[in-house]
Amino acid sequence: MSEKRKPDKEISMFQSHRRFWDNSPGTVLHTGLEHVLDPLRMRIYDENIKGEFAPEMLDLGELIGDITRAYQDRPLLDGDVFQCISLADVVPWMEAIIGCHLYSLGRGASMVANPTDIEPGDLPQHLRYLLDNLDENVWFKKLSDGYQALAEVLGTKFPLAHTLMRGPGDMVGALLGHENFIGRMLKPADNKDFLNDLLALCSKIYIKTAKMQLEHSGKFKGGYCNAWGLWAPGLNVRTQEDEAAFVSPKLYNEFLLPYHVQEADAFDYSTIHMHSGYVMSVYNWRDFSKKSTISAFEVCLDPNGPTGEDLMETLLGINSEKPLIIDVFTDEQAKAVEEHISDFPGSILYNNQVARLSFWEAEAEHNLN
Amino acid sequence: MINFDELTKAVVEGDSNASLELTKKAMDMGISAMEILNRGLLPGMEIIGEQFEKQEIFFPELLMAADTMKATVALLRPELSKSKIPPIGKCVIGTVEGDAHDIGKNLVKMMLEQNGWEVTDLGTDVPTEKFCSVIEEGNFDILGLSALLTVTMHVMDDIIKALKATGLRDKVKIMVGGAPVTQSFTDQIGADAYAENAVEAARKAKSLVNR
Repeated sequence: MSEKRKPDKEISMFQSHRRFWDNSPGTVLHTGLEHVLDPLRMRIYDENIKGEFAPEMLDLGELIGDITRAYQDRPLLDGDVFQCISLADVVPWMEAIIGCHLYSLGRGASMVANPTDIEPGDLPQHLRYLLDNLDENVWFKKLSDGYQALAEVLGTKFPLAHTLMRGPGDMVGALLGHENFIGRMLKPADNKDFLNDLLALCSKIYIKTAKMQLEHSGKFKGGYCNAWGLWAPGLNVRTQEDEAAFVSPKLYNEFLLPYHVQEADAFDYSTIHMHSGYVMSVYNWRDFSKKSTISAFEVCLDPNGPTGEDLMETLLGINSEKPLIIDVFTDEQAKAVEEHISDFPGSILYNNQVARLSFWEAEAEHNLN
Repeated sequence: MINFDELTKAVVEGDSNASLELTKKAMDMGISAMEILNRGLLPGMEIIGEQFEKQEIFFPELLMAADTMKATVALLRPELSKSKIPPIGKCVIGTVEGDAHDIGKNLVKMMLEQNGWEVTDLGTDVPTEKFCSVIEEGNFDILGLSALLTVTMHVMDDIIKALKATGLRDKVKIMVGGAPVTQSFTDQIGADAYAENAVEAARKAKSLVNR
C-alpha cells in the first residue's frame, strides 16, 4: 500500500469503528492475525516461571523493553482493527490489587489468583481502606507506573488499551475461593449483605483502576481503543467476568448484574466478555441489555460448549440489539459464523482465534529454523 | 416408616440439614445404610443429573446437591465400610501440569464418589511424571485428566504418549475434559472418552468399565 493511501485506510477504520458501536447493519470487521501476544506471558512459558509471583518479580523496565521489541516491526493496522498495546494481561491485576496471591504456571503460560489470607469477616474493611488508598497498593502502583512508562515509550506509535480486567464476580470469587463464593450465593439469608458489600467495593475498585489506566494512556486520535483494537470516541472498557459462567441466570441477575450495570454506566463505551460453554451466562444478555448502557457483547465460543450452529440463534438475537464480538476457537465454529455472516442484523467484530493460532505457530516455527 | 422421597428431595434441593436429619432418623429406626443410600440418596443425584443435562439447573445447584450427598454419605460411611461392598471402580484424577483450575475436576470427583467410585485426587498442576508413576504403582481403572487452558490441554497428549512409551497405556482407560477439550481433540490424542460435564463423566466412567 502506498504512503499516500495509508491515511485513507486509517480514516476509513475510524468510520467503520463508529459504525460498529452504532450497531450499523452490514458492518463486519475482522481482527487481524498480528495481534501481539503478551511478552510476559511468553517469558513465563519460555523460562518456565512457576510458583508464587510476587510484585517484585515484575520488572517493569525489562517488560517495557520486551514490549518495545515485540511491537518493533508491527503495523498499526491489523485486519480491520488497530494494533494496540496493553500491559501484561497474563497478570490477574484486579485480583492482585485486592489482596489475592498470584501463582505463575510456567508452561501453562498463565497465572492464577489464589484466595487471600485475610479473614472473610475483615474483607469489607480491607476493601474499603483499599478503595480510599489505592495509590499505596503495590500492584496498583506497578500498573500505574507501567502505563506511564508505556505511554512515554510507545504512546505515539500505538494506541494503549487497559490491561485484561476481571469484574467483581471474578474478584470476589478469587478472594473467597470460587466454590465458597458460589456456595454463599446459594444461602442468601446469611450471605446476601456480605456478598453485596464485597461486590460493590470490588466494582468501585475496578472503575478506579480502569480510569487510572485510561488517564495515563492518553487519547488516541480523540478516543480510546479496547484490547481488540476497537477504537471509540470516548472512555472504552472491556470487562472479563468468567465467574458468570458458573452461576445460574437467577444468581447472575441477583448478584452480578447490578455491578456490571454500574461498571458499564461509568464509561462511555463498554464491552462485556461472556462464555458460551456455560449456557446461562450467554443467555442473560437480554436482562443486561434492558438495564444498562452496555455498548457491546463479546461472546467467547467455548470448544466444549454448544456448537456454532446451535448458538447462532442466540448470537443473531444479541446482535439485533447490540454490537457483537465473536471469538471462535474451532473450525466448526468458524464455519458456522462464516456461513451466517450476512445474516447478522447489526455490526460484528469477528475474531478467528483458529487462524491466529496457526499464524503464530507458523511464525514460531520459522523463528526456530 | 421413613419417607425416602423426602430424603431424595433434600438431596435435589441441596438441603444438607434436612438430609442429615432424615438420615439419622432412618438409622435410628434400624434402616440399613445401603437402603438409605439406594432408595433415598442416589435417586436424588440421578434427578439432579437429568436436570443439569436438560439445563433446568446449573452449576451451583449441582454443587449444592453434591455437597449434601457428600455430607450425608459421610454419616453412613462407618456402616457402609462394614458391609465390604467394593467400589464400582477406582479412578485417579488431576489437572495437568501448567494448569491450576479445579472447579470442574472437583465436581467430577464428587459425582464419581457419589456414584460409588473410589477416587484419588492428585490436585492441580500435576507433572506428567507423577501421573505415570501413580498409574504404574496403583491399580486404577480410569485416569481422568482436566485442563481449562488451550495451552495446557496439549499436555494430555504428552501424558498419553508417556504412558505408551513406558508400556502403561493399556493399564488404564483415559477420560478427558475441560473447557477447550472436544471429542475431536479426544480422538486425536487417543483418549478413551470425553465428558462435557461432571454428570456425563460419571455416566461414561461406568460404561468405560462395563459396570
